[in-house]
Amino acid sequence: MEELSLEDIVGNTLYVTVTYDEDIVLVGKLEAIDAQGNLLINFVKEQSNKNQKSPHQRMLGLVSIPRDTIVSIRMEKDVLAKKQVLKQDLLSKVI
Amino acid sequence: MSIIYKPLDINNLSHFNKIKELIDIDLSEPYSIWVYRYFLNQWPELVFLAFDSDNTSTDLPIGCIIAKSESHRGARLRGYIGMLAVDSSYRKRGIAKRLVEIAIEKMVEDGCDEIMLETEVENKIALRLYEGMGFLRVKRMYRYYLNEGDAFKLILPLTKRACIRSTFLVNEQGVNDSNIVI
Amino acid sequence: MAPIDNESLHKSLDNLSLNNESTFNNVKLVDITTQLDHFCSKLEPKAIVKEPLFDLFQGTHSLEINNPKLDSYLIPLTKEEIEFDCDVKHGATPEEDLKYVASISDRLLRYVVSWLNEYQSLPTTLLSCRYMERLLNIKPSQQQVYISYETGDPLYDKALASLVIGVSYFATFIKGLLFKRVIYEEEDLNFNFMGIQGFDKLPEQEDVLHALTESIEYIFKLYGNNLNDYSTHLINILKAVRCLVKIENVITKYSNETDYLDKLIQIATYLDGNELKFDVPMGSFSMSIQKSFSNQFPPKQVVTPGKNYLGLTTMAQDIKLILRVAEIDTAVEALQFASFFNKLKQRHVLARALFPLFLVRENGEVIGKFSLEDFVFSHCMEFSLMSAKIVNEINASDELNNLLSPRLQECANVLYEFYQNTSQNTARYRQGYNRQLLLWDSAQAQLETVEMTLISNKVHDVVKNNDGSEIPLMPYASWVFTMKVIAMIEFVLKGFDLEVYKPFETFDMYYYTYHLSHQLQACLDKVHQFIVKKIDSIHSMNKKIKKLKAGEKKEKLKLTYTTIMEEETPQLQTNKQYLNYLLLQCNMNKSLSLFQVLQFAILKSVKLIDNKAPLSSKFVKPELIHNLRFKTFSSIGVPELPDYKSFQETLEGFVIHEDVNSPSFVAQLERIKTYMIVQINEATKCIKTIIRAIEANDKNGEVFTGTRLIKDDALHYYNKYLGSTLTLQANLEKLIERIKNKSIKNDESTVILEFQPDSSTYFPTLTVVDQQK
Repeated sequence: MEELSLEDIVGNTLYVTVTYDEDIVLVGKLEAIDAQGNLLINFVKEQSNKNQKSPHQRMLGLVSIPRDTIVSIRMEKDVLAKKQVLKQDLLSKVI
Repeated sequence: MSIIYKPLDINNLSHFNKIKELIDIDLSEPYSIWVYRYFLNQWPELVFLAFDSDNTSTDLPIGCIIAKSESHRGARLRGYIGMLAVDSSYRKRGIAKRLVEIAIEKMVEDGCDEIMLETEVENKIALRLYEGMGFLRVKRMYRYYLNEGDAFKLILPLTKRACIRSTFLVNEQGVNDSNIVI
Repeated sequence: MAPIDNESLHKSLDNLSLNNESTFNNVKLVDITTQLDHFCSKLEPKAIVKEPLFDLFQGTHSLEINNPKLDSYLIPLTKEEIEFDCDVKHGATPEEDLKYVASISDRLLRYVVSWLNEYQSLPTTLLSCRYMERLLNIKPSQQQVYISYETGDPLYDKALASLVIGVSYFATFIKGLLFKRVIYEEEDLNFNFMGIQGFDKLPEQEDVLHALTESIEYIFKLYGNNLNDYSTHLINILKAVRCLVKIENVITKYSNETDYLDKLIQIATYLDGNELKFDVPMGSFSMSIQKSFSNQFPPKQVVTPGKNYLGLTTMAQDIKLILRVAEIDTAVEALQFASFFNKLKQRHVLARALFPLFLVRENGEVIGKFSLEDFVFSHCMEFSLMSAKIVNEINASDELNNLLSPRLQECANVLYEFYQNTSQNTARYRQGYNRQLLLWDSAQAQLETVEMTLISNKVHDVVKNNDGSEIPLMPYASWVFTMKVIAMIEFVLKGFDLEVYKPFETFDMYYYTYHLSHQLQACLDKVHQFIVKKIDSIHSMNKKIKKLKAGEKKEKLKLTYTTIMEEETPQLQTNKQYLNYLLLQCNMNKSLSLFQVLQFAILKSVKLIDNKAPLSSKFVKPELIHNLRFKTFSSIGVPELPDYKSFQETLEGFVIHEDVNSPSFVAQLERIKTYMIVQINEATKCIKTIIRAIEANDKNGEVFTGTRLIKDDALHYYNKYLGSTLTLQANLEKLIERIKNKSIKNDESTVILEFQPDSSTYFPTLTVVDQQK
């Protein structure tokens, strides 16, 4: 994803795993990111998959996720791919 | 002891973290990183730090003031003092006062028409500091803080525009930001 | 945008390294942690990359992961809290179960008071109850909340469940009030419902009341004549909740019935006198809801409720009070009711929310009797409009009516805002006037234009000025002007109550009050003179009739006279008495303000104070500060705001410039003091006359105060003013004494604004205090 930039990532849904002691994923829209990699995510859904039958979830609104609490950040593969294709397409046209 | 005052170097992350620490200790309101990012990254020139130049073991600030300035209803340029903190071992030496003065001087220079801030009714020290500099209590706000106290909104007028209702300023000027379609 | 074909899509997917793929909720994800870190490392340290339309200011209100003050996930829970089960009994014996159910119920009732009277939030009070959470947390598919648990014991399944639903029903009613914008979230109360759906899916009021009644009957049946402390307590709490559920009738049925409120007061008194000490089951109240439910707020400890049953009494009494507004007969009564009910003491939030909704109904009618337009008309008729020529003129002319109607409609809107504002919390109340003044000012200007048209048509009433010249009455504009100036005075004086002013500002504020009162007085005098003239002319009609010889002319005049006597004179008499009241009130404020102005001048004469901000910093610009203080009034047309210079000159005119030690200083001081005592005596006379009228229910034939329905509050208000006449005078005597015996040292003494016991907070004393070294 070398050809992409932060501007392409911002505004998309991220799936963030943080340093909690259980398997929790925070899903939300990336509104802002700073140079330290601190995230500001909106419409956050906190989802726990501990209980596979009835996954627990709740809404948290706007959440700051400091870089040092982040284990991993994931993005939807399809969305990412489309971004890349668009970018490549654009680049090829320019060239 | 000599205290020196410097504008913020936004590139210095250890200063950023120390500012956060100075303020978090002092305030009852919980602040996230993005409170600091909001002020510091957008108005770095309105952040001033105090350093103890005699203390050579560290280059970290012992006090700070955080401010911003924006158009208020398209009528006047309003400065705003967001946060002010001084390390507890450095209090009662006029450091806070000097920080406020430096910030006000900068906002005057930038052409602000007024400077606004809010403070708890019970915070007599802050009231004395700001009122000594010409800030006026313009209104009381009911249960403004999370800790449930009332607050005063204080304004320091810098130009005549501070003394005219914004509705009338806008008409006078014929320009209203809200009418400008971006 | 170029369409994305499958081939290029696959190609680009190949670019992503496959070892960082995963699936979550059946969505294929790619780990981008390293790439993001890489991107960030290339950013300038001050850079922030954000969504173009996102305002970073919002970010200042965000929660934060791993920050104990901002992350509800970190809330620690005990084993009992985690495993708490609402569907099993918690007592070891039936007695213990009764104790537990009574104690949970007791705590819920106390939480109603913590929430409403003590401004605590919902999740730290009612919603911390697991039993509440259990019933309200329903699946989206569930149509309605069930009123039952599954313990198998009716004490829990019936009694506790009905109580929880009753409290929830009441809470939902309050949520509805927040939506009507009569009170404000966070400021007046908090309805952070944690995204729980059940609040909107509660049974009907009738069913809730029925369930509560059944529970009460069940307990009676269970314990028969052997009611113990716990069962009695529980029954009382169930009864109290039944009363809470009925409160909505105030705005759903516009009922002013008060039986259930009296009942609530009675129960609260009982509970207060028979407090039981017992514990709730471990884990039954918890912060867990903050951790497990949708929650956009920082974590907060669960409240430990105090013995606060009497908070229910406050609530019930305040609601009873506002319901009395249903008994108003006249506009002046409504005006006075609104002016006094929330003035000295901020009323219970629920009473404040209900007042505007109960007064002006959903269909726009005032107490279900008059339209707002009629209401405006009544306000004018009970002030200046009665017997004015303009009234008949308007009735006769469509053209005039069309001209006037939109202007009166505007007045109706401002008047509505005035009434709404009277029930706001004490700080918002003053701010409300800040906005209202502009509206009154504009309404007045518009009405003046219309009334000028009438004047040019020579259809108007006139009164004589002091110099004998005639001035037009302008009954509509005069009414608006009066409303406006009274509001201006209220705005200024309320600032003292809220401690908005520093001592140095005291002169400016009281001098302005004096100035406004003076203008108001002129207007009131004008209207008063018109009324007196009308009454006189009616009387002279009678004399004229007597002089006339019997005949057609005499009979005709007699008929006119009788009609006027019946239809106009009683109202004119009342109006005259009401104007007397307004004049007394105006004079009271004017005299006390003048007193304060002079007190300030004496203090300035001995150099203890000045009307300028202390020049302690180069940023202090006295004229700017003065103008900022008067910003609210700078745009008001009439009365025009005196300029900065005239404030200064006036003060200088009062200051004694002679040397403090000279005999002429003392002589001047005595002269000023005498004049100040005259002011106090004048104010005292006015206040006592008003108090006498209120006590006599406005039946002493001189003064009409319109306070019949709000008598206690009005009396209390004027008695505090009376108290001020004493405390102000005592403070003056003390000051003169200290000046004479030279015990004031300028470097040690300072002036503060001091609230005195049993005195009006609109007139704190300017007290000299000696600073401790």
